[in-house]
Amino acid sequence: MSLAAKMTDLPTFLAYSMVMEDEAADRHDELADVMDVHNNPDVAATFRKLAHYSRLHAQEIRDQAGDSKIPKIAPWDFEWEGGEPPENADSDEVHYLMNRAQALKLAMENEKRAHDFYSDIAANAPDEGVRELAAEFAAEEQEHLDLLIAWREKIPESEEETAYDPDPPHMPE
Amino acid sequence: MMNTSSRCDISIAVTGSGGAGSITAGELLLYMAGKNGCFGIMRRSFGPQIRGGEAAALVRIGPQPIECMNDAFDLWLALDWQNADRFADEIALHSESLIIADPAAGEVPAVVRELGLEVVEVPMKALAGEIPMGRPNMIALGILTHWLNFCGDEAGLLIRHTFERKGQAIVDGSLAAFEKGFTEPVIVEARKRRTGPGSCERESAGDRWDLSGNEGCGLGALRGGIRFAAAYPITPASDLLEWLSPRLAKIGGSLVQAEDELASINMVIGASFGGVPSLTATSGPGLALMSESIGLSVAAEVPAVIVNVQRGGPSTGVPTKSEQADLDIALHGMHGDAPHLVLAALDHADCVLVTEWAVRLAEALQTAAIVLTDQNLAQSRALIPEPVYCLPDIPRRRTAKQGEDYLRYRLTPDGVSPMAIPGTPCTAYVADGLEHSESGKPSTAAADHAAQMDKRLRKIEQFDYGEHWADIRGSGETAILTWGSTTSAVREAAARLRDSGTPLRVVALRLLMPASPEKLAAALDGVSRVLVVEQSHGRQFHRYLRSYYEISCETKVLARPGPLLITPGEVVRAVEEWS
Amino acid sequence: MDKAKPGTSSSPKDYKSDIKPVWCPGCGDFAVLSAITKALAFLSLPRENVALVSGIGCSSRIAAYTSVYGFHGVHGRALALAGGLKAARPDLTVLVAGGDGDGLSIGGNHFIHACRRNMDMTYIIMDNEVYGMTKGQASPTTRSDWGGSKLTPGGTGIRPFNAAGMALAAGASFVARGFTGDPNGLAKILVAAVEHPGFSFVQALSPCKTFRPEQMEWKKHVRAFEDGPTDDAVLADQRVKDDDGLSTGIIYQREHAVYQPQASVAGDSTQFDREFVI
Repeated sequence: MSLAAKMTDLPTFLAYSMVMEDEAADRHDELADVMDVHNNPDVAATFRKLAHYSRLHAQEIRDQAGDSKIPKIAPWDFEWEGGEPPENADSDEVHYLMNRAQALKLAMENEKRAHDFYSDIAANAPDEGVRELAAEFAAEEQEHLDLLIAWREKIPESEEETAYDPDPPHMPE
Repeated sequence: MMNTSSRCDISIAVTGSGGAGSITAGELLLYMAGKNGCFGIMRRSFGPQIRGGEAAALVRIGPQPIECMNDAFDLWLALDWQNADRFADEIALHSESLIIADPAAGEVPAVVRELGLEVVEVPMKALAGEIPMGRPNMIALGILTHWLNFCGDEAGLLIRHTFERKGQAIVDGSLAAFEKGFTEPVIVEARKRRTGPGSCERESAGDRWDLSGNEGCGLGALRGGIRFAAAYPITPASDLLEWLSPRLAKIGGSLVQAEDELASINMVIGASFGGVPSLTATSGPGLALMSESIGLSVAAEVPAVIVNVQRGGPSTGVPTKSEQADLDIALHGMHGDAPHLVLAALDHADCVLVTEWAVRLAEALQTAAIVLTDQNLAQSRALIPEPVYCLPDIPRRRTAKQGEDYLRYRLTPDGVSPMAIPGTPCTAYVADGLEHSESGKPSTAAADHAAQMDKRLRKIEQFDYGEHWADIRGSGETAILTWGSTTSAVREAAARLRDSGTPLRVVALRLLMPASPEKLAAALDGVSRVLVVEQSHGRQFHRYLRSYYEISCETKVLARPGPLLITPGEVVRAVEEWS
Repeated sequence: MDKAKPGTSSSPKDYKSDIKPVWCPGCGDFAVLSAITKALAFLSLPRENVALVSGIGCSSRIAAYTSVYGFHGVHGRALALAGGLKAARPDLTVLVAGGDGDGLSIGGNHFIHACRRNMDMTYIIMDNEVYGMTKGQASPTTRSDWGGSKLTPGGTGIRPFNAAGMALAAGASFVARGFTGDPNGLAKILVAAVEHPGFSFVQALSPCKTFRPEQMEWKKHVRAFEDGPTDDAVLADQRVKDDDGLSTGIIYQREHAVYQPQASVAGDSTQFDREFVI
């Protein structure tokens, strides 16, 4: 059963959307931090910017929710396919030497999954209000995706090569 | 009856195979000495068996405070001669020594017989056999009580008290056996031929305390505020931990038996991090295992107290006997530069003082404190005046109040920073063995390392330890420098030398780390030669002195390993032969 | 940490410090941190009443990354240190975390005794089957034929420990396995672990991207145990033995007597003086 079928009311849908955007922001921050620590400032800045956008989106949803009572759901009670919200960046895909192009590619995959998540709800949720709002959010995710594509096109091709790692790992302790 | 000492005292060895009750007899005799206004000390010596092995109660009793065994024994009472040659080294005799033995227990061993001493034969086993539930050791106690001219009625009360839990039959048998020994005609006759301490005047002022060194350390720990202990059994420290366990439970504290010494020191650090003053006790092998985590206590600045009861080493070594050979690892066993405290107890009363002092210093300075005693001090019992001492003002552990800009390892002028105790809001921090910045954040920066090292050293070096750094007695151009339990033999030697016209100064170090070079220089002012006395084959104390102090005068070293204790006579000879 | 305010927090972020982890990008340990903070937020535990104790290794760095009280001790001794803390301060919620080398090799003795002692605390082993901090040597959970280390080029030649099986054999009263690929599932296990009265052991499969990149495949194979928790240790042991080590969930849970020294009313030591008077 698709998650869309569970979106029977607006508060539930908003709870899912909010957590998805919050977690996407947190994950991007986490990646920005780790890139900082690994002396990859360009990619750190990229993830920081992506975190910023996710946070803006989360705020939009909060504004949208206004006074409506959002149910408090434990993290593990969300029924995400794969256990995590679809917009979370896949940790497997990161590497300390990754470049901006790769970071953006990762972000695009996230946005694409977010878009698909909203689109599915827009098409299949039982509640009309949910479907309408999901369609709006899906359109926004599409906008984000377009922005990312435009951003990526500005990056010189030379940066897109996969990095060669000349250094062995360190022994810090 | 007296030997080289001019003092009026007597040294008695009671030996027998395990189960013969020689230890019980010795303990009761010591207790009675206390009741009779005397002072005394008792050591125990055993063979390697857990049960049934040969055992010796070594008792010295006299009218003045006694803190060490004498050079030789005046009286050896043998319940039997089972493996007695094992004790031949430990029970030195002199030309006037008396042997009391049971003729049924076999021939007097050659090592004793060759000395040509007077042997008084009492058939203790046979006499005891005539009494229902009579035991030879109670006959022996009667003999010795008579010999020391102690009050027989007092002994009766003590026997009743000691055995009442075992039933009336045993009490009656013990009393009857005691009476038989007390009035044994052969002994009464022999006693008349010899004068002894029984006729000496006694200093009976004040109560006597009957205290082992381990108990003294336990009491000092509780006085200092210890409320958590972690324990891993090891000879000769286990009885300290056993003493603590029920008493901690009575006053709101607790003791946990750990899986090994690595765990016990870390439990101590964990509990102390939680705000509870904490201690463990061990011996050399355990201290070696703990040394890594003592470094953690130093680096993370979490108070921890470790009482190390030294025994013969290395490895399992001579685990039931004494030595002063853990000094090196206590001082220098830590990895890295790890300023910490090392203190040593000089005698039984000092065990209380030093351990309390160590706990309070560790708490005030947020560091590790190692207290060194040894098997000789820890497991012997002494009758002493009530320990009375006065520690200088030492602040309690500096703790953090709820605050916004809390830095756990803040650089302060005295090097001590407020410690936040879990449960305090807004001051959460991570205690870290990794080098860290002032906030506790791990850091490999040279500046942080230097600043934190300076801080950890500063707090220990700048602290005013007051007068207790050493015990200084006497005067004269000759000084003896010593530490730990050897101090007692040195003090007695100094008294004998003084009596024979050689003034002596005795300086016994109580605070070993940080060293006090200026104070020692002042203490040795006017001294032209120094004898260093220590119970260590490797001259560990002498090397320590040479590292930290300027001793420009002529120096001689009396250093030898255990298990035989350095005696007063040995020290006297070392001074007399020094020309 | 500076933003900390007293009392209850309810957002996972409130339990994170402002120190950035040194873990490699893609490391599973990030998810353990996330799961711990989610669990603490769910339990609404005041930060000042929680202590996180760790040893040495990549994963043991975790203590610095939370905003609760922490202790980053020496290698292998975290459980012992935590035991002392809990004995002295039963009011605190005590968590212990570290790696497979820290907990099962150098700290192996403490692990089995902590299971046996059953103090009320939660122990998380972040298991990546390798020593990361020292550059990729085999650990006690590394398969015998893994030849990726210069130290043991042909593999260790010895069978790995089964951490959950060890915990069961040593008498742990709560044994679970989670996976960092499912941080929410891991958080749920942690909540149950913290709420369990007694020693709770959670093995968190946490891939090492740098030295064991092949572990990135774990996510394809990890699945929940077919059966839920049992209170039958023999059955639990059988399940663990029949498993390839990649099934997750609470394996065993049973209430046993919790070890906690019972403190009496505080008193002073003067009462003991008279014991010595003759």
